Amino acid sequence: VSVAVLRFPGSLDHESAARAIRTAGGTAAEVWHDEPGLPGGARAVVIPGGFSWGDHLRPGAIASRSRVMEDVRRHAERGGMVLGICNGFQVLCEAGLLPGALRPNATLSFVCRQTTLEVTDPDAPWTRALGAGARLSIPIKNNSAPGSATRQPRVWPCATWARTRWARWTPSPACWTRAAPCWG
Amino acid sequence: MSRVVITVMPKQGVLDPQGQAVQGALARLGFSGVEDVRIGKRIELSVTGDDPAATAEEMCERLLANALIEDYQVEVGP
Repeated sequence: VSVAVLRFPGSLDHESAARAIRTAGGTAAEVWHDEPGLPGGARAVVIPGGFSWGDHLRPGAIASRSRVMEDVRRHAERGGMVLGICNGFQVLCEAGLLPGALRPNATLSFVCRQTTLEVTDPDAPWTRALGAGARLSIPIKNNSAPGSATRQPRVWPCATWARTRWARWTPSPACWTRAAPCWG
Repeated sequence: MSRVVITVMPKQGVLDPQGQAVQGALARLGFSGVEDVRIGKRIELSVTGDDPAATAEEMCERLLANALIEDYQVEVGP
C-alpha cells in the first residue's frame, strides 16, 4: 500500500510517520507542500505532526491552504483515507475536512502527557484491526486543541476521541503512529 | 497604495484564555475594576489595486480569520 506523507516547513514527525508506514508493510512517499498533487497510486495520506509554518497565524492555517492540500481534499472527497497526526490534525480542522476549530488551551499550558484513547468506532479504516473498546496509550502535546465541533465530520482521522478526563478538552492526538498496524 | 488594518478578535462567547490570564495578572498588579479582557490580532497591510476593502475581506474569509471562532473588521486608510 502506497501512503503519501506530506511535509511542510516546520514538519517534524514525517520520518516517524514514514517509518510507521514501512513497519506496517506499506511504502511511504514524502510529498512537499508545493507539489501540484499527490503521487499516483497513493491510497492514503498522512499529515504528520510538527509546527508547520511555525504555528503562525493559527496552528495549521497556512499549511491547510497549501497547494498539495487541494488534491488531499479531492482525495478525501473521493472517499480516500486521510490521517492527521498532531499538527496534521490541526491542518485538517483548518482545511474544513474535520469539524471544529483549534483554540489555545484553557490553562495556557503546553499540554504534554500520555493519555488513553478508546476505540468507539471499530468500523473506521484506521481502527478496523483494533476492535471496539480497544485502548491505545497515546502521547498528546499541544498548545491548541479543538474547541467547537459544529458539524459532522466528512473525514475522521482515526479512533474517535478518548473517553478520558483530559481528552474532553485536548483530544488532539500527538502521535498516532503507534496505531500504524491497523493500516494492514 | 492603500493602507489596510485588519482586526481579528475571538468571537463573543468563545473562551479567550489569553485574555483571562492577562485579566488575572492586571488584578494582581492592583488594577481593580477590570471586568473583561479580550486579546486579538492587528494585521497591517499595504495593498495596491482598485478595491482594497473587498480584497481584504476576501483575505479574511480565505485565510486571516477562522469564521468558526473569530470575527474580523477591515479598515481602509488613505
